This record gives sequence, C-alpha cells and structure tokens, in this order.
Amino acid sequence: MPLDDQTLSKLLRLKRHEQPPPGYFEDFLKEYQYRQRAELLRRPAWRIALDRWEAFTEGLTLARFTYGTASVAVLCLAGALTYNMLEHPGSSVRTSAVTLAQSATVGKPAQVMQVATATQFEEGSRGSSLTPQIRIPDALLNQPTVTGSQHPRYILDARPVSYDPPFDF
Amino acid sequence: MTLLLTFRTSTLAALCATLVLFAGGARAEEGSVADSLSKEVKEVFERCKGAVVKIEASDKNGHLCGTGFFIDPSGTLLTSYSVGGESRDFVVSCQGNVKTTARLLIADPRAGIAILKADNLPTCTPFLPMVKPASGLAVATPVVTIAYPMDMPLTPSFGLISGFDLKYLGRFFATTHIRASVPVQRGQGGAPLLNMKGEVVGVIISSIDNGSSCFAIPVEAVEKIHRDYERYGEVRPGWLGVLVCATSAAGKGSTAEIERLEFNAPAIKAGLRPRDILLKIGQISITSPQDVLNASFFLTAGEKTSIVVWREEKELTFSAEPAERPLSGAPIPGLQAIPTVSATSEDITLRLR
Repeated sequence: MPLDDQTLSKLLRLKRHEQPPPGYFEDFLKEYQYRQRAELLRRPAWRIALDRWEAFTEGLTLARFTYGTASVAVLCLAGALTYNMLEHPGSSVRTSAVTLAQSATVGKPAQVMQVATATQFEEGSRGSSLTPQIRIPDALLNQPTVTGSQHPRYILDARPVSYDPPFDF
Repeated sequence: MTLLLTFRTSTLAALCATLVLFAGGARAEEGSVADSLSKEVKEVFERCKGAVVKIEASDKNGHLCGTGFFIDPSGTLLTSYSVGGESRDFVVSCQGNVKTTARLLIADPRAGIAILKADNLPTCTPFLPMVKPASGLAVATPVVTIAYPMDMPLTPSFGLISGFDLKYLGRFFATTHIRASVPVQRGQGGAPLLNMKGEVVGVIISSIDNGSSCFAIPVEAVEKIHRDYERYGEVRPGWLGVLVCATSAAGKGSTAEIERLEFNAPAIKAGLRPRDILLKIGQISITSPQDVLNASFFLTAGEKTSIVVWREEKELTFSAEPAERPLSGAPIPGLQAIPTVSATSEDITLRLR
C-alpha cells in the first residue's frame, strides 16, 4: 500500500525517536563480518578454493599452462611414490637400514660385530634379559651382502648364559 | 798399617764382587723364568695347534666365524653354542688351509657348547685330550688358549685360572664356570682352554669386561653332554623334585636343607624328607644351596645317583633315579607339594580340611 505524505510524515516522526539498542554500533562491524563469513561458507569448499586459486593466479605473471604442468608433474610423482610403497612395503626403511649398515660396516666394523654378537647371545639365552638391551632390525641383520660377505660376525659372547632359578632340582 | 789397608781394600772388593754376582744372578734367574714360561707356552702351542680349527657358518643373522677343536681322531669337534648351536653350512678350516664341511651333532644352550662332526677328514686327525676330572685344577693354575681372533691367524694367549664361579652379576650359571685371566677377542668363542700339558680344561664361551678375562665351561660339563649324546642321542638333564633352601643350622658343614618335596617325584620315592641336610649329590659335595645347582647339572634322567644327607645326627645315603624335568609351569598330574618345613601344624590341618 503506497504511503501518502501524511502517513509518511507521521511515520518519520515516530521513527525519529527510535534508538538502536546499547552496544549496537560497537558490535556492528563484528556482526557484519560474521554474517559475511556465514554467507561465504554457504558455498561448497571446492568453489571457495577455486576462487582463491583464481585470485592468486591473477596476480602472477607466468602463463597459466605453466602452473597446470607443474601441478600435473607433482601429482604424477606422488602417484609413483605411493605405488612404489604399496608394491614394496618397508622398502624405504630397508634402504635406510642398508645404508646404515654399509656405513657402519665400512667405517666401524668392530661396533657392528659387537652389536651382532650381543644380539645373537641374547637370542641364545632363551629370552632372558642377560645382555645389553641392544636390538637391531632384522632387515639390517638379514643383509647377506652387508654383513655376510665382507665381515662375518666373530663370535664371543659378552657373558655366559645365566638364569635366575629357584634352588630346585 | 799397609797390611791393614790391604786387608780393608780386599774386603771391600770382595763385598762389591759378591753384590755384583748376586745382582747378576737375580737378573739371570728373572730372565730364565720368563724364558721358561715363553718356552712352555710355545711348546703347548706347537703341540696343540693342529687340533684347533676355524669354524665358519651361517645362521639367520648372516655369516659367523668362531673357533673349535677336535676331541677325537674321528673328527668330533667341540665349540661354543653361539658358534655352532643354531648355525648351518659349517666350513671347518684346519691347519695347512685344509677345508672341510661339518654337521651339528648336539648342542646344549644351558652349558653353552655345541658338538660337531667334520666330514672327509684326512687320516690321523690331531685332537686334544681332555684333562682328568680329578687332576686338581686350582686357582692360579697357568692356562693357555689357542684360537682364531677376528680374521687373524691362530694365536696363543696365556693367563691364570682366577676362580670357579657359579654366578655372575647376580645370575646363576647352569654349572660352575672357570674364570681365567686370559685376554680374549671376538672369534675366540669355542676355543680350548689348555693346561701346560696341552690337555683341555675348558671351552671358552664368553669374555668378561671387554675381553680382559674370560669364562670357560669346564671339561666335566662338556663330558656330561658328550656322554648323554653317545648314550641317548640327546641331552637328558635329570630332575628329582626337591626344593632346597639355606638353613642357619648347618649340619656337617652344609647349609643346603630340603625345604620341599614333590609327591611321586624321584626324591620322595628314594626316601628323602623335608629338613634333610644335603651333603653330597653324586660325586659332588654340597656345602650350600648354590652347590646344588652345580650338582643337579650332572644328573641324567634314568641314571641312578647317590644322595648323602644329614638327618637326626646321622649320615644317610640314598639312591635315586632322576626323571625328566616336567615342563615349566605345566601341572604335574596327581602332584601336590608336601608341606614346607616352615609350615605350622595349624597350616597343615587347614590344608587337609
């Protein structure tokens, strides 16, 4: 219903005395940003990401296909690594173990032999905790080319097999 | 006056000459002791080195290398459990670069030794004789070991017997070990410990404190394992079903008191009772509960043994036939523990109810 001048004047007079609640102006900016963010989040996440990506690339000077190519390359590399790890589980661990063993064997053979001897003794002691608590991964010990051909383990136990038995016989 | 001077001068000269002679003699004697020692070690080394071999093998951890020695002319080899107990593909290198294969006959982790058999050996293989058990091995007896340390050639080491130990760092061995002040290195596990006659008194199984000394399993324990193998084809530790405790009221010099017996166990069948003081098990005298551990190592399941006890101021001898030790933790059918000596009559009554 259209308002005539009289009605409008009356309404303006009436509105002139209205005041916002206390703190309205202090919270105005916060409320505005909150509503803005809420409005923004109504959109799907991929759309937001795309908008941001577009905004980012607009500021760059390189050709767009350059970024596309780099993205594809990164995806291919990640895929290849994932495939390799699934096909050969623990391969990265083994590689590092072999590297460790090779460096240890070449640089400090005595220490490697000491560890191997102690570990073997621990196994030989039927599970009792007799030896220094040194454990090396089986992957490292099972490398025949590392500990097998070059430097065998020279055997001498660090202590004899011993027990903690009751005095029964 | 001249005569007096001449007398004094001649006396002084004689004194000096005596001192010089005495000092020279002492030095000469000192030299002769070292020379004599060196000569004896060299003789033992030359006499025994032909029987000591390098043993190479493989186990789940890779390639290993240790020492061993022949104990008979048919090629029976003795080494430590760590070298031969869980290994395969044995290659034995004798003197003169003769190599042959070998196989495992028996191994005992309790004693820490393994017995192998070498194949295709030349006739008249040199071997090391075992010392007689009653030969009186004592502290400070000189001993020699001949072994292959690391990848070095056959090497002699000399030292003294430092003691006979049943425990080390709070844990007990299965049997008494020889502790010798012989420096050892890796690769010498399984080497023979020899007296100055070239007889085996033990097998080196471990080092002490970074190789300044070593532990060796005595030849008696080795013979027990070897004998079990020859008779039964396996190691047969015996079990009597006796629990021993230390008592303050020592009887006949022993503090090893029977605390408990198992029903139907060989000990109770033989006539032993709680509170008996153990004096002797087999040929081994008992003075403390620790001696019981050593004596029990030599029990063989199925072979009768004598047990001497002190009961009511009398020395009694029983004959018991050890059985095979029941599996640890497994309940023994129909067996219950006889009340311990510390149990009161009230406890026993309660249990019977």
